[in-house]
Amino acid sequence: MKKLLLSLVVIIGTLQGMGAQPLRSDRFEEFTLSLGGGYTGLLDTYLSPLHYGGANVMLQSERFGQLPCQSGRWFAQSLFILHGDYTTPRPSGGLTIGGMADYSYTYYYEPRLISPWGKFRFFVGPQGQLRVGGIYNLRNSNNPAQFKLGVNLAVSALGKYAFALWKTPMSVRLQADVPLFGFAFAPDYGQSYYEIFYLGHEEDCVHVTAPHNNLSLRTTLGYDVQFRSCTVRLSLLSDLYQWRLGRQQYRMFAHSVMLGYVNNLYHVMRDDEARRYIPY
Amino acid sequence: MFRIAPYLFTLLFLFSCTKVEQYEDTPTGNFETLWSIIDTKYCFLDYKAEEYGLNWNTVYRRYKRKIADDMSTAGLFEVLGEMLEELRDGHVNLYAAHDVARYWDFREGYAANFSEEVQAGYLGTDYKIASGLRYTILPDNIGYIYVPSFSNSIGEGNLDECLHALALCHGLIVDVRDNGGGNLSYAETLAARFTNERVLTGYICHKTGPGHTDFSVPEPVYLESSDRIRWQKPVCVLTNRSSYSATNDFVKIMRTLPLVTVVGDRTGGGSGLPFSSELPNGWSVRFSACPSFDVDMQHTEFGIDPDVKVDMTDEDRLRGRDTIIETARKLLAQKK
Repeated sequence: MKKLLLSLVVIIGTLQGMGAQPLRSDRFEEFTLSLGGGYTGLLDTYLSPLHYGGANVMLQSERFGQLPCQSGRWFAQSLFILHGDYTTPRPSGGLTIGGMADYSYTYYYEPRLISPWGKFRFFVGPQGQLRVGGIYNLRNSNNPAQFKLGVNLAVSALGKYAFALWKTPMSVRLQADVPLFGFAFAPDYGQSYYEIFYLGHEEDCVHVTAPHNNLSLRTTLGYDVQFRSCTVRLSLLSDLYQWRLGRQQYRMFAHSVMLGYVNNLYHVMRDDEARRYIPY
Repeated sequence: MFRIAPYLFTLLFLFSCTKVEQYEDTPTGNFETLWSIIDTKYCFLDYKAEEYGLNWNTVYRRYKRKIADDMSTAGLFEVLGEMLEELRDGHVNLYAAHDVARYWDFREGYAANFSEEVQAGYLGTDYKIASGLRYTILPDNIGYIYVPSFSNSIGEGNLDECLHALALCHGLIVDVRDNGGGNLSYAETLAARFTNERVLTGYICHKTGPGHTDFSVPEPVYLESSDRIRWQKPVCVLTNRSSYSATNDFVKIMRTLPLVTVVGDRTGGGSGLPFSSELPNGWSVRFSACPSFDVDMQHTEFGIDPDVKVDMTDEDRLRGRDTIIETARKLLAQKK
């Protein structure tokens, strides 16, 4: 557990620290708040051998802005997703309630590309991910819930293409995040939470994760359209997250349609303010 | 490099995915699911093979013959219930909307050794209740605590008040007969009042894989002494065949303590921590998943023998006397 917490601090802290420099006083920043819902599919063999499916709700908050450097090619993104779901197996039986808070911080670089499509921009960079949540199965006795905690170093790519249709500015964007390496908490095959937390036998519960046991992908396909001074984002968030730890399998896929409001901010600061400014 | 990347990605994806067998909601599918859950997750298959020759593969072949896809729901439930009975485990149940399949032979085939009517004569009507504890002082100045279940919470404050009220007694009876168990932590909270030091009370392990012998290295389990009021005088713990599960664990802990004597009948057992799972038709199954052992690394799944074996006699029962309580009173009087 200590290893997990330490790596959490190191990964998130390093990436935050890299971004924690004063921005340019003429900094551009985009803030988006989206709300949506969709379908979640779930398999957690610690809780049940059956596939569960049901509805989800998602709240997503994103900040994206330029970092202060001479080249002007470094950007940072802070992404927070709150996810709740309510699933049942088919055709009948149990019921699970799940929730996950997912925070990621990405440090993007925009390489010089000669784009044949005009206003196409491409960003790529390292991402620190923290996932905390749980699933509660209302039928189970001594294994009623699964606590989820994962820290990952991931790679993220983001493409944006801006265009105008009927004199209305629009853009499409696609972001993909793939975790590469990290640590996760998961009980052993038949280990009870009584043994882990009450008796303190937690040595085998922290696992190293890499694509061989945690091949996951989160994509967001977004479409921004501007109405007068207001920009609206319609997006499809797809999150496939799977672990194979402690000889057990956890697989969650969520597809949600999101509707959000994009706030484009152009910061004008005094130089001394800019020096003190710590971005998100 | 870019050419092999898609192949590499596909290979990784295949490697990271494990096929989880999903059965149909048919009698055969439900039978296969149940048999497989027990085969991969039940923790006493090897131990019971040694004890009474249980062979889970033979059980499969025997009961598979009784499954037909046109059988009724009640018929399927009966066959699956019979199959689970082969495990001889009170922690194994199959729950359907119309019934619960169970194994209660660990107590039903034995003397009850407890009567509420007779016990009422000892408790009287003015006994005190501290959460899950009922307590009084018997005429010979012996404290009597009855713990009917470990499902009701036992708080530190409850124990402080109870032990304070009994402080002038020269001995104490803790009666856990007909206590079918509950929460292990409540049992340990109570036991912590009877030791002045940290003591080894047993071992616990868990399954590390689907094989019958896939277990973790047993870890020692210690009982920490309570830092509040602790009992320093002789104690008798009363048991019968219905002292099961968390109560069996309580007795396992208490018998390691120097001032404690266990009196009555062998406990019912139930030393596996139960987990739950489910079948495609929605029925729920409970089974033992994590075995625990006593200080000598012995299973207590089939019960713990008392230090003093006593049965309640019919003659005493008819006279309103509890033979087991009377034996404990005599023992405590001798140790005064």
